[in-house]
Amino acid sequence: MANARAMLLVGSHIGENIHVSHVREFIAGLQNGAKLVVVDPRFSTAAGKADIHLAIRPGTDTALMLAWINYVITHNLYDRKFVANHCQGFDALKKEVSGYSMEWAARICDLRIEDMKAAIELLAKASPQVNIHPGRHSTWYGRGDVGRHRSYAILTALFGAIGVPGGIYFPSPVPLGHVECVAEKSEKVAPIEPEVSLREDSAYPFSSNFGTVTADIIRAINTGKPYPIRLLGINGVNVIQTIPDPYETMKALKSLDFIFCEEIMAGETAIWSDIILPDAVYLERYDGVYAYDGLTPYVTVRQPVVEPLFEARSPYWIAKNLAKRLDIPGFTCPDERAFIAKELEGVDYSLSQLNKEGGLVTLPADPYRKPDKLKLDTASGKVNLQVEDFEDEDLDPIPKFEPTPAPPKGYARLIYGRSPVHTFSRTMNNLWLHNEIPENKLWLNDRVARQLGIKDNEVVVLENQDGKRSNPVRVLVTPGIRPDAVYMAHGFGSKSPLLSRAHGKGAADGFMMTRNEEDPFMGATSKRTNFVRIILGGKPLAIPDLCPVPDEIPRYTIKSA
Amino acid sequence: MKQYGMIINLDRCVGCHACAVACRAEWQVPTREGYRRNWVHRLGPANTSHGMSFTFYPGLCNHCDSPACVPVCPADTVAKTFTDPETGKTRTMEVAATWKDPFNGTVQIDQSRCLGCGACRDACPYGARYVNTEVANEDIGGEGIADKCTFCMPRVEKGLAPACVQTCITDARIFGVVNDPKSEVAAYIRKGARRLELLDRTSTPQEMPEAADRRRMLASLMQPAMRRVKTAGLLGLAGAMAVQGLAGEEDE
Repeated sequence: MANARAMLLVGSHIGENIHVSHVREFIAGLQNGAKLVVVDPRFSTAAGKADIHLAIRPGTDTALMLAWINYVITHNLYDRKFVANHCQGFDALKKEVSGYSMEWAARICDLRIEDMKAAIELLAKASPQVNIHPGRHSTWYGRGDVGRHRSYAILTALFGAIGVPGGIYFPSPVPLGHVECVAEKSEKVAPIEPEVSLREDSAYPFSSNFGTVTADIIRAINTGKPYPIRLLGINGVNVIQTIPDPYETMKALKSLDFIFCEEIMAGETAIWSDIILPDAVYLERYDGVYAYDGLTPYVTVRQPVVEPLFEARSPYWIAKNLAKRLDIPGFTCPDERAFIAKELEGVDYSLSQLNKEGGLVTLPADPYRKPDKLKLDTASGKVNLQVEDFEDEDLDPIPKFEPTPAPPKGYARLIYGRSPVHTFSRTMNNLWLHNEIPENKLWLNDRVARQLGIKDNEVVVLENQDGKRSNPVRVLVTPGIRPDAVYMAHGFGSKSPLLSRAHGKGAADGFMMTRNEEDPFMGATSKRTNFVRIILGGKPLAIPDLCPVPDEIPRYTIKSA
Repeated sequence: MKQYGMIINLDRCVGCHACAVACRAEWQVPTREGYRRNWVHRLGPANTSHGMSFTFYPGLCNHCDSPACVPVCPADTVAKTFTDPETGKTRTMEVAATWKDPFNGTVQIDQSRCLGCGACRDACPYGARYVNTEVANEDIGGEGIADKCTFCMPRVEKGLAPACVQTCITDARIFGVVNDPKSEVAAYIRKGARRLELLDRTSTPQEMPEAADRRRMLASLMQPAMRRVKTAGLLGLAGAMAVQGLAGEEDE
């Protein structure tokens, strides 16, 4: 981003999402004069630094992207040479997007054509140094998510922003030594290979590359299919807060015979565990070697500065000793230091040498490619504007716009994001961080608030489309959120009384997420498909309908009880 | 006289509060209500005459030219000798328990002589001081001890940057000598960085007088809501703190 001349963020709230090196790049880019376009129903920190902010109707981002792609093609704003030499499927793309006009998108997205045009012209003018960053936590609507992400990549390719400064760059792999954690499977405790694998036999054709779909695990526990699961080991994840539809997760946890977790915090998942193995915090332990393969490749190692307190032990020690007691041999290293030493051999370093050089060593980068050297990791070596592998699975080879249902009358869409001082749901009980931001606030549009008679800082409760109610939460009355959406930061509203500071402070977005769709490519769970209304003084208030919904977008209908 | 100062570049600030946390950690500031040397107020999003704004007020003591907090201190005065670390020159002044240093321009407290009466806290228009009532100089009938930003002088004397400057993830805080033309701080001032002025007391962002678009937000700021309004003109705020207005933002 530091080298970009223009940046596009769609719903990505870098700045509130504090990924430190990324924030630094983002700010460096702006300070170097890059233009910024932010597409977000909310006026985020990034929007506050933008040249153009498009307060888009939630769920219509792909419509805007496809109209932009069409506009770029029909107005010759794309890099013809790059497309001719490095892309395949251009004609099919051109034909597929020809129906998506700016006029149509303006109506669908609830934006002004002038603003949409100004934004795409601004981006095109900067090409190829255009950065379209997909952001994090970007599984929103289920069905269309992969198509939306692909539309960012297609626009990037049309601008020729691949392998060039400011655009998408190639990683510079760091050749760490490979260490097997466990050398061989125990013959004593041989795992029973199930006939059906949750991972390999997933309904999602592209999921197994990434692991097992979380929702599949919860479903398997609750249904006993494809096989029963009786035990769960959880390592450092508060599954009740992080996995959408915590009610299903809680049902699953209750049905298990045994749960153990490795934790530093007494969050919801820990207090529901049979055994908590106290984890060492980051200042008390070694972690594996961290290698960064971006623009400034480096190698570093997290190392303890103090001994673990009380009974806390490092994850490696815990895993190794669990294995020992289960009589599973084969851990290859006596301890973390030996493991780290083997990894560092790959870059010809020892830990003491690394520490002598300040604990971090940088390596040469190779991020860019001359046009004649540009080769992607695809069969053709080119950018696939049209993906045949998707077609083989009956998925769209070129993204299409399929509207996600609009909120039912009287409801607004719930959008969530990050609080800049907190990390997921894990830091709300920290004395200093809690002191800075103790609770989240519900962002409510000022016109909506006026009509409902809700004042800034007033405490309300949310009720979602399935009748689930939130913890009480304070309202931030602001013009910086659309009338058809409300927003809150994730991770608050802890239900664990053992987190004495965080308990009950603010509301938990996850507990409002009972309606989820999984994307058909990888099974990623949608997190913006839930709708809420406001309860004030015990009385439900209907969110006024200030953003008329066009006929092309269906409204979600609430099942009557 | 040398005057230390700090630029806070609001275009760089993302409101992560790392400055406030680093300060609390460095000086072990308790977390009770209102106890802070360094803070971030989140302003907006709100409409201004330059469009919508969402910005942050990262604040600390301004180490004013004419500090309102100094003359109100009721502690008995003592003769205190200050030494210029560069020239070795000395100067002796009659000071109460708080003063403005004649050689570096910082406003400091002698906490061993503080009565904890809160007069300085009440006089500060920025809410930059608090009185810690968990501690007191009981020998002199004290009821608490006032505390505030020292511009991290104990660190600066060792050649370190102030804690908030060192920790800032976007390098939005720039510390240095205001009246040294070679300093980065002075360069910012030449580029149009403006002093923090109390133009209004409100909880929403106000635009800078000559700011031209919504990226150039906001130098004039709210006071913490719990403070009494003070008239800016009477205070002669020379403030070491300037907030970049980017009047001279370079464009290619």
